[in-house]
Amino acid sequence: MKLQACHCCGQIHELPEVSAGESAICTRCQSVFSDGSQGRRAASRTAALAAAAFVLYWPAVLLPIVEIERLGHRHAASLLIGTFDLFRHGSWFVGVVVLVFSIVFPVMKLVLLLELCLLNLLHRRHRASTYRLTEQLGRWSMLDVLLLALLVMLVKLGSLVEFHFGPAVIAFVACVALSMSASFCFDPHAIWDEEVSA
Amino acid sequence: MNTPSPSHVPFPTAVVVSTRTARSTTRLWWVTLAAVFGAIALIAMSLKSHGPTVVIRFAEGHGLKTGDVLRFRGIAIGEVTEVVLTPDLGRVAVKVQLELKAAHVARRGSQFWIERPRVSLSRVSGLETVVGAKFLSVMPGPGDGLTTTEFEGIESPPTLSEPESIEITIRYHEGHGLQVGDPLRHRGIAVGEVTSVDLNRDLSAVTVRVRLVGEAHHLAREGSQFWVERPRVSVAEVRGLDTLVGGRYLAVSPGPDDAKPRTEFDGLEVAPVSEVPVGALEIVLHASQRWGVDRGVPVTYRGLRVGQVLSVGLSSDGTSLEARAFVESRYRSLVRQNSVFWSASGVDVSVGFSGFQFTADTLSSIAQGGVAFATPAEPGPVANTGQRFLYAKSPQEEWLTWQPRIAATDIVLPNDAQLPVPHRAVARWEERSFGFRRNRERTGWLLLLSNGQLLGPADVLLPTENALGPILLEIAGQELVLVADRVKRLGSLATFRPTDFQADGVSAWKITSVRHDGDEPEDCLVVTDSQTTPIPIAASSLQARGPMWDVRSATGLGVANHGAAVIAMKDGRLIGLLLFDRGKASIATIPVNREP
Repeated sequence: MKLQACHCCGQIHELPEVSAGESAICTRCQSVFSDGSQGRRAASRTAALAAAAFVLYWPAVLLPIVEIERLGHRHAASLLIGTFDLFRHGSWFVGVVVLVFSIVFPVMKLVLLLELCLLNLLHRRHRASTYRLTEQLGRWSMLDVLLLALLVMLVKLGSLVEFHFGPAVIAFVACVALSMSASFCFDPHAIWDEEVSA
Repeated sequence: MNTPSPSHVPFPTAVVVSTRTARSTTRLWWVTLAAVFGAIALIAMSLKSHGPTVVIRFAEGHGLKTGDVLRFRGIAIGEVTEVVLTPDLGRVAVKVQLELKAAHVARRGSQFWIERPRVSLSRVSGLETVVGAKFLSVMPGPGDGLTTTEFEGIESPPTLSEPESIEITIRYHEGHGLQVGDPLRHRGIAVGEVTSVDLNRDLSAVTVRVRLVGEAHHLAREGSQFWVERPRVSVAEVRGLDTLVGGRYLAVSPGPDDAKPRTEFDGLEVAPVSEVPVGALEIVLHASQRWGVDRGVPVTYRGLRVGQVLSVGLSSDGTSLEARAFVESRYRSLVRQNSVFWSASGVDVSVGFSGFQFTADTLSSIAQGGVAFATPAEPGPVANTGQRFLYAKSPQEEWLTWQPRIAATDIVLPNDAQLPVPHRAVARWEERSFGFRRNRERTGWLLLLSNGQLLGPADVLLPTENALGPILLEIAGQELVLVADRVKRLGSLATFRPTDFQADGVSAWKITSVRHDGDEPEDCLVVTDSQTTPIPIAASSLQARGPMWDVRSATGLGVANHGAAVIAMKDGRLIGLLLFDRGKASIATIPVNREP
């Protein structure tokens, strides 16, 4: 007999032995008491989605995402080039904000998710801090906000200038969706499941 | 109240439910795989849409910068990726990334230029680049050109956007300000353009390269003449005024149709005198002195310009002056073998007892001279091409009074209408006057109609009422008896239906080719027999008086024309007969109520 708190509502239960094909659930909130297998599954899902998002992140950032043509001036910009254009035009503050929150943070979040769920390169000691970092980064990573900005641009400028989406848009949308699903699938308990089961 | 001991903790026991077998791994790795493929595909796509990179060298960058586009027929087919100076600082190298769909413009012969606002007298182009960005334009070379990636840019756009073209070379002694891009025009439209103007090595000539496009490549043949059209104002002619404000252009006069192709030409320094028009009569004039005859001066008839002098030179033995001239085809019938030519140049000032007389021809002939000619009232045979004429310094009095009637235009009757063939007829009868029997006769032309009637003047067919004996009519070698009740009078005309007339060999005039509505005088032709040329009478010298049209000036007409057939120039139909009465000529139109 082993005592375990429900990770959702905090009610402490006595856990009976569960055999394969069964699982224990909380009497109060019906949350499933995780055993190692569930944690591993969540981890591998997260890892798969994060890896897909990571792969698509690079074309999304590097390939031209919008082509704007105005009075014969044609400008095709990728996200990265666009950000550097901001620096070039002296908008350092905006440039830094966009670079950090929309370019660096999303990729860092993906990398950290991969680390937590798949790679386990770091010592176990650091996992807690890695997890907290992931939480914070996820909060501030605003890749999806850029998508909104693109839509606004399309609506506002569509009649003034020639406006085309580049090939990066597909990668970008998929990357945003995959990245969100990866965060959704992530189960922080899985990080320590091994310890528990051990 | 007893506090619960740690050994009796009333924790609930978790409920155990059965779940489906959980897999420790996930199927979502397929998503990752798909993402990898997707990313590879996207990158491959965006890389593959790029065609080859070409390098174009320009003398001048004109503000072109990275990101500007290359356009062809108005759509973007490439993008400037780099604009750098060549290492020797001599030129600007522009690297252009072509799109895949336009990769084939990278072939030999393609021409690239920087489109920029260009406002010149001859053209305005590239205005869209005043506000918008500069862009590169390209005109692809010939379809069979080899692929290449190095190009020399041109400064100004080619005017003609036909890709099919050939180049010819023309040598001039003088460039006359010709520039690259100036058009070559034929019959007023641009058929080519100057692609380069270079001095040749020994500085003695200018070599002009011209690109001919489309059908104009047929101009590149033997005998074609090229000259620089430029403003020229002389008393004889004013030409090329459009080039004062519109820029120079090259003009061409093509060689003969069947000439061999050729691509190297020697240009003419001055425009050739107008080409000899098709069908014109070329003649040669002889004179002992030049007397104002010069290349290009007009040939006039009654002061009207009918031709031009083509060239003036000495005869081969140097004894006289020879001038070649032509008379336009519609006036060539004015030149007869007995025509006379004289110099119409200059001013004739004569002072006499009657005062001071000043005679001059046209303004241009005052300064430049001219050749006038006249044909006697009895015109000789039509002059032949190459006929030689003497050329007098001044006209004789008499020449100026000659007023021959010559069809000034080619007599072209519609429907290939035939000319009627009237026959000379003599009516003879005996008449008693003052108690004597006298033989009388009257002659005139009669026309046999296809219904067997003879049409002629009333005074020939109905000469008298009081003839003694029968009135005999001799026509076409036959002798007929004019029977009064077979003759029908139609105003001044009459018809006679002979009984025993052998009409074989006598051409009859179709009755359908007779017109009755002779209300308004019109241009007509007086026809007698086939040996005499028809005499034209203009509508302006006719005056209608009832069914008769009086001929104002009867010059060239005489009693011999009495009864001659008159046909309309308009449609070639018979409209009447020419009557001659007491020295006055008139045309009697055929009345409407004439019975067939």
